[in-house]
Amino acid sequence: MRTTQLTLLLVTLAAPIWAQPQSPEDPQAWPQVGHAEDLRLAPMTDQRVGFTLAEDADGRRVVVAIRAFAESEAPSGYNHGALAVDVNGEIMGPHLGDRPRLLNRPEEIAFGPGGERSTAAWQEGRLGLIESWGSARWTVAWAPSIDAWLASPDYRPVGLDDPAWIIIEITDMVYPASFNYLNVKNESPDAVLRCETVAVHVDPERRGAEADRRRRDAIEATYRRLDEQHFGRSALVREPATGREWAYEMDLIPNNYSAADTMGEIETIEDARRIVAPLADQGYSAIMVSGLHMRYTWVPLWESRILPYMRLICQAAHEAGMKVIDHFDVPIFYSGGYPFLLADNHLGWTQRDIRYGTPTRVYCINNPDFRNHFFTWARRVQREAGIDAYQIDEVSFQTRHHCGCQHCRRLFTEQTGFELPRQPDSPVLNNDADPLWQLWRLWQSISMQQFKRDFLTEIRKENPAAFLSDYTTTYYSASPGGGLWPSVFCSYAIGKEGVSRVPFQNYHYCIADRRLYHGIIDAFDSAPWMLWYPLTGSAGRFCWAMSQACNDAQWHVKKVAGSVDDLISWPHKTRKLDFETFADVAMVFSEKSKSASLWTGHYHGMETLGWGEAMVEANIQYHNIHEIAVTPQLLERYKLVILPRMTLIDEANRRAIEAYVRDGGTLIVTAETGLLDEARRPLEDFLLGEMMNLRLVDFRHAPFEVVKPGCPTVTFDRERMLYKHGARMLEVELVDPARSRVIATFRKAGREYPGIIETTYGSGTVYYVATFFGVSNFEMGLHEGGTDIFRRNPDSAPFMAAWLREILGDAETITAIKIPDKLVYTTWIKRDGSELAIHFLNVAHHRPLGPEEIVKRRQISFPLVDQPITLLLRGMEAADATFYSPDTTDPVPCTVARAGPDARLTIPAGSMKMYGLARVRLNESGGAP
Amino acid sequence: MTAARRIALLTMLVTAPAIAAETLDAGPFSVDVTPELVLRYSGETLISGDRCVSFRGMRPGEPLLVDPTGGRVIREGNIITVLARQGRNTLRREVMVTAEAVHITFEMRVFGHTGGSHLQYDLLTPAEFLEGVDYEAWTGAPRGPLETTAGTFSIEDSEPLEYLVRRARYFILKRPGAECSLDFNPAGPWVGESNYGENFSTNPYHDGTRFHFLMLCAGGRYGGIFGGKIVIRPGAVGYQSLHSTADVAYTLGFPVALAVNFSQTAAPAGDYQPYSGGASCRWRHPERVRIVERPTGGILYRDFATTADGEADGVLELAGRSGHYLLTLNVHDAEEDTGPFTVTGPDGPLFEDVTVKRGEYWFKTAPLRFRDGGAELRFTGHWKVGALTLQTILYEAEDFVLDRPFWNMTIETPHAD
Repeated sequence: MRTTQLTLLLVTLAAPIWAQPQSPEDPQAWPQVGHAEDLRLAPMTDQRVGFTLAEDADGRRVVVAIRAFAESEAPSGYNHGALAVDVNGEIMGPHLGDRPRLLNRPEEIAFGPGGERSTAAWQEGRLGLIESWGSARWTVAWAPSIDAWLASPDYRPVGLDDPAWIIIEITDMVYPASFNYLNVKNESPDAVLRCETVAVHVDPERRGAEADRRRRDAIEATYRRLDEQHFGRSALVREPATGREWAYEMDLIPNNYSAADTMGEIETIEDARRIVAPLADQGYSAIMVSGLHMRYTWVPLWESRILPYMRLICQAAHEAGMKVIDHFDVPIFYSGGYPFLLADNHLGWTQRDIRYGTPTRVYCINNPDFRNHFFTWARRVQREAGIDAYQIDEVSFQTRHHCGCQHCRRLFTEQTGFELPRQPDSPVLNNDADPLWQLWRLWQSISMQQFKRDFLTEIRKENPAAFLSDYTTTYYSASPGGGLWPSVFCSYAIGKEGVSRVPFQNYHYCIADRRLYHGIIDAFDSAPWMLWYPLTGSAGRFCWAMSQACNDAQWHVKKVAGSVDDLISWPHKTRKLDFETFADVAMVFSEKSKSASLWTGHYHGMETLGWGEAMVEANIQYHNIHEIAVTPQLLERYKLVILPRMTLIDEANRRAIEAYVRDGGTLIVTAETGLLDEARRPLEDFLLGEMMNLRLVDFRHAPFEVVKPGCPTVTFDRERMLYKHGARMLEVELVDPARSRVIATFRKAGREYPGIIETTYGSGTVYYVATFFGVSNFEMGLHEGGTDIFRRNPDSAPFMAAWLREILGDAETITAIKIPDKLVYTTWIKRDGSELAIHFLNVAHHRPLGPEEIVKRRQISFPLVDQPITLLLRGMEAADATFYSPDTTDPVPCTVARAGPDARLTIPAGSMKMYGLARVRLNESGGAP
Repeated sequence: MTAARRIALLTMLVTAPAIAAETLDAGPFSVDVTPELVLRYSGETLISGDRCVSFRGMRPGEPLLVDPTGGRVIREGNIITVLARQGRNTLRREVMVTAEAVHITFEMRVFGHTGGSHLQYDLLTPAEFLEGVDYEAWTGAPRGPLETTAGTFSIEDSEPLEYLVRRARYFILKRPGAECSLDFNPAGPWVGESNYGENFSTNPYHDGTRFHFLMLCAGGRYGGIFGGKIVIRPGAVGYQSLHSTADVAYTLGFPVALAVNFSQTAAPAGDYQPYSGGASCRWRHPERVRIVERPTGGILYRDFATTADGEADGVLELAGRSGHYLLTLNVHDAEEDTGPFTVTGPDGPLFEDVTVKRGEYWFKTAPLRFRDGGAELRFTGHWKVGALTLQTILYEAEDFVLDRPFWNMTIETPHAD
């Protein structure tokens, strides 16, 4: 009873602000909470304007009033959509619910003959005052000044009240009781935008503010509870690898033609054996069955084709000592599934548009009848076929606008106490700034995870050893569909599809990306695997080598599988389950930072990958660690920890990081790290400000020069950077100059700004880098036929690497004394400390693409490494070492010499071409330092 | 009468090619009742055979996976089926002949290594039919955008074994006096990630003496199943008159053909209507319908249509292309109970005895069939409707899964001979 009453109360409190009468007053007469004057924005730049809303801003309308124009020598029309405004890092659509945000004018005006001249007098038509390019663009005039425009006989606006001002409502995008900020943006590629005034006003009329505050607090409390319960540290369960060891080592191969397979080629056990035998003979250890991929398209074939097929392929695979993973999409169907859709009320199983209730081509994972139908069938197939593992895809919601079915709405209310609005024009829906929408999205993620957990529970009733595999294409950016994160808590093999079609060309990215993935995989003790998409045989061989160097199992594509036949069964591979990364540097990857914003969250990933790519190139050994696993004890293992634009640092991480530095650790913090609170609200200043001894003053645009004594000056400019968000520096000031030392400055327009600041904190050191070096070095996968779109600053990576080496100094455990150019290595250590594995990749024939060069597949040459390779293993006692390479028939003994407390490893010249593996046996007493 | 018995009564078996082939004639079409596929259009041979090979088997001498000429012929009325077998590989090919169209439906099933990565099925056309003939083609990969192109078939001016058109879905052959269209994708735009054993690409080429309409299905390395359907129609029938030209993607839902908010207020400027239209509606007796406005509720649920006098049925006439749609209705009244009411479509009740309590939200979806360009909805009882949405499933011409079967002849053991 109390629960019901609470629910009703909360639903009552959920009455939206927008439904209430609007204040008749002039918004510019409302109290002003933020203000900026005379902003002159160069093309494609922006200016941040901060303001703080009081707690009682709940329930009040908030507007931004802007007086702006695009500079020109003479008035020439009211037609320039140059102005855009982001709020708290999020882009702004043109409407708030069912009405325009633009308050003081219509959405479009008539112009032309007849006296209504708002643009060129010789034209006639209508002019949109709002354009939507994803984000709204607000029309401003071309003019030398507002006054000149208003005075122009040809171009002055007619029929507009108060034409000089643009008043935009932002009520739904701001946080009460919080710092907020606007980014006033000039989206024009060639015009200068002048904003004479930018002012933020808050409606003085309060509308149930207390109730709104209570509602917001209650929603946020529920969010925190559910988030911790399902995605927090308490939800992190590491199960022993027993029973799934094969997943760490698997060489996985499709039995036929991936998802397009019709499952028609096997009718008898002999058919299955004929298909399995050559795969087993080549050394593959597991089969991925992906045929008839969207199984709910093929329900009439479940009994007649799919079940017998799975039974036979499993039997043949098990006879051959292979495992089988069944891989399919669960809820999606297409035209072949329409008869089933329209039969027996299955239409009622479909996901619904939250706004309109309309169905889509996906069944709802929360529909009890659908779940029962699927789970019953899956369990029967498991019982009769004996499948070893599953990869079930698309267990998600088709878009952010789905699923508004009655079951989802009911379950959401039951589990949270809140009700999602029904009205399609509710500003709650699809509004990432609204706490109820945030809660709804969290709940959807929970339900995705729960579906997989329930599926696994059903399957394990038949096969307790069965497990889930999972993959996603991109992990570094926020995903509207939820991405990998909900599933990792119940998946035991986690892989990834390569996004590069030229992995050799993108080797920096590929290895950095695998490092990033290992961050999450290691947090869960899951088995990592990789699916590369090489286009040539030599690229296929290089991909195999990268899998070894990244300690990954591999899903092989059939297209080039023949080129790696000899490698699959190569006997000297490391047993991957036995090894873990051996690195001096750790970079923290934060799911919370990544997901804090759909629009800017991915800059955390880009900054992470960009630093990683620099370290890969420079052979600086690093490891990504996931925020959920961060503890002081984990951080202590590393000589250096990097927080790459980690905007949201939760309390557990903050404490761990603080303890790490206080106790002597070295920390690098970059760009906007720590500028969000745990509720994803912006902070006015750095969360780690005390440690860093810094205050944030402002953001300034590139270009600027990075000046560091002893280093070549680096020009940081937007032309050599794809993502303009990174083409900025943060202007900071030292709180206590005695505590810090500026080791690099940023020079802009004749002025020097602190660029890299070294601060002592406790026994440790914090470096703050006031820009986005990682973003300036970021590249991702390329595709054949296009150009290299990832413009990079070629000076960034050498600068980063040199500086990191400067910090590490003699603390870098494994360093190259003598190594050929373009030989990449990665280091791994046996979990019992008895062996070091050093993987070498020959990228001698790698070269950067020209500016207009088209990406093409090519056969890659791997010239013989004809010089000896000598590495210094600091503080390590090595007994002996042997070098193995598929390029040579016999193992090659290496020289291990003592050098004081260190060991010096030398691999003879001529030992490898493409790939080699040095296995260094460590003395019992002297393993890893 | 069971289908099998009907076949038994109507079927004529032909075990070997006739010396003077019997033909099945309808309108401009004439098809030989033989294992070979021979189709004449306006007296000229348009198709002189077909081939089942693995991809890369473009050359004439490549080994056949199944040879249809040795197959068994079954005739049922205006339908000819050929069942061919070669080892365990099989072909089922059905030709239905009407004056309006010829439907060629095929399914080949192959076991073991095929020698290629794809399976390939060719329709063969004599050079004399196509040489110098202009064409208009609609092309595009399954998930790619639809494009159009035009050209002329010419053996002399093109290289043998080179594709003349890539990824075609549809052709108009502008042979003077014998224009016709070839629809290689009669089930409409692909709504899926891949073809799953269906023809995903038709790439015509010539071998020096004949033109081949090459069809492909991925996944033939170890055999599998490849099926498809080609519809040949007289005249220059445009693709767009039969099919949707909207983009089709894996992630898209059913396209919205009509979205109506029954309100006096103009449609809001928000994103309420995110899709293109295609259908329309009107009340047959608008004077018997009134719009009730409520002060709150937001679009869709604030205002609603209901009977003007509390008694009359509301008849909503819907117009649009014939085919299958999904109808979603939204009902809500913040102030009064609603119902019971029933909504009836052309094939019977869609929603029966619906009651919606004051303040409750009700939305349901039912399939609705448009025939002859429209359908009629009748609202009876104490009815209200706030919003209506129509989403297209399949146009009538594209329907080979719901009302119209993929195969026209029922055969109990289609792969046995």
